[in-house]
Amino acid sequence: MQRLKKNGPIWMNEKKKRLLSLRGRRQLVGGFLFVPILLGTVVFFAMPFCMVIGYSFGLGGGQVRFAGFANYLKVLGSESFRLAAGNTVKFLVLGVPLLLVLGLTLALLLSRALPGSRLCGNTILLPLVLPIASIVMVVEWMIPVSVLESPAAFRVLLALYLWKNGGYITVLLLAGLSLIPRELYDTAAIEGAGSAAKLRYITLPLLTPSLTFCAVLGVINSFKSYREAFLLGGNYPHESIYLLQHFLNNNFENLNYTRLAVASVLTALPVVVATVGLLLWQRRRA
Amino acid sequence: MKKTVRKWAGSSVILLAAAAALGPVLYLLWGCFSDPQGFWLTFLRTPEYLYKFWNSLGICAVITAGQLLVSCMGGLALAKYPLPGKRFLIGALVVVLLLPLQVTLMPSYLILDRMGLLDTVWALILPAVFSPFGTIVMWMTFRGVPDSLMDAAQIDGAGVWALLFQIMVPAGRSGAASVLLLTFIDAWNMAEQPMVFLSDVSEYPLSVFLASLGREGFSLSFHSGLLSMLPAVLLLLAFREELVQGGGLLLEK
Repeated sequence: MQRLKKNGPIWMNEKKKRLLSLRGRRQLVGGFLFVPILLGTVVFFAMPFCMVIGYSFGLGGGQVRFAGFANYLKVLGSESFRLAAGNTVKFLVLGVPLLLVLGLTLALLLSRALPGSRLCGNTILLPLVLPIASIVMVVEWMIPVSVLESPAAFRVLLALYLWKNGGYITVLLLAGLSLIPRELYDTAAIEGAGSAAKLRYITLPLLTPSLTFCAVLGVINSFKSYREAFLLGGNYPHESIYLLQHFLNNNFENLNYTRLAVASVLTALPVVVATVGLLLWQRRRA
Repeated sequence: MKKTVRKWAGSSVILLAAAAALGPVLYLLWGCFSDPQGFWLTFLRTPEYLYKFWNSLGICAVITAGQLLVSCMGGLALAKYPLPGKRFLIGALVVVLLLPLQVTLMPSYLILDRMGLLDTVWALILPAVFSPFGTIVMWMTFRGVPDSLMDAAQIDGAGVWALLFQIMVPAGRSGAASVLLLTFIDAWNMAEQPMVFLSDVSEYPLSVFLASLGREGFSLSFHSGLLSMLPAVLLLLAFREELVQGGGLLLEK
């Protein structure tokens, strides 16, 4: 059995066996290892996403009349879509930078081994693992309903996002800080650099990869804030926290597939463009 | 003088962060122990809760195990084997990874509908198992494992599975532990998927069920909240070191 494996399957003729060199065999093994994720992504994502694009142009669910961009114009013109998109963008633009500043501040403080940093290091990851249902219970206890039904709901949601993700970002940035060689700071100190100069010219430039990674995580997780928003406000929360996800979810419930498809494509588009752009830019720099 | 002031200012910020992280847990504990009987009531009076707890735990275990297997395989292939169009494959996986759940929800719904899997647990399990998250993390992790380790194992005649599970996964332990922990937490907190894929409310897992208790079930929700916190917190305690190291590893490149 072992011999058979070494010489290639029995159905191969001599020529093929010779062609199946070491590299070829490695390619086979690599392909075998990659099949599950490839198949999974194609079946559960790529293929059905093409169907979604079809729906968005009016080519799904029995209809076969190509509607062009009419559906897109309708969704883009709708009040609720604009509200949802605006809130989502506002949440991203405020949330991610605040998260990075919070994480960096805490990481810098923790790296200094001040009194209390052990306690903080040990507890700071807790918010990441607490079930959202428990969190919402605490929020409902701390914050009166009237606040959740006012524009301040947006700030509550933002605070929850920072509280939940701040710990993990801090830990990641702390790991990034520990990779910066100490000698750089010592040299800078000899040259007479103050702490602001050290932060500006040593820490921040060398921490850029970590910060980029954290920003990406922050974006991914900001989309997950919908869970908190939903558990706090249900399907139709205060309009300040009516997010794209609410829009999508409500259209699911109405079984409005066309609107749903258009909104999915419209949400995916900026993410895909930004990611591909970032990847290409990184590749050119490398 | 100036130094001590700054030190104490820094310390208080740190302690404030610790308090913010610990506060809700303490509040839940306090709520529970001011009514110790509630523990029994949660289990005895609401067998529904007990059923949901183990049911959700089972679903999460299957998701985590499946995702771990798929990610270790895919990550190894991307990190150490020649694949045609590797750059494109990695880029495509990253794009899918970054798409918000709400975008992938409708595609998943359509395909699950075609497969007749809606309203079954597989609707919750399969899309989560094939999420590209773990594959990307394991690719980054395995990239850092020296080739010599792999070559040595292959010269010793190790097969693919032995290579993967006896050599590579232990060498990339921190990455694998990060995938395990983060996947479990994500599955444990699942909300959108059951709401969309399952029409029968009584089949909802613990995460959504608890939230639906709301203010009415308040006294019991302390206890159910605390109990639902346990699996995730225990996992965090078990894998904290690996999670922190894993974070560092990913950044090293």
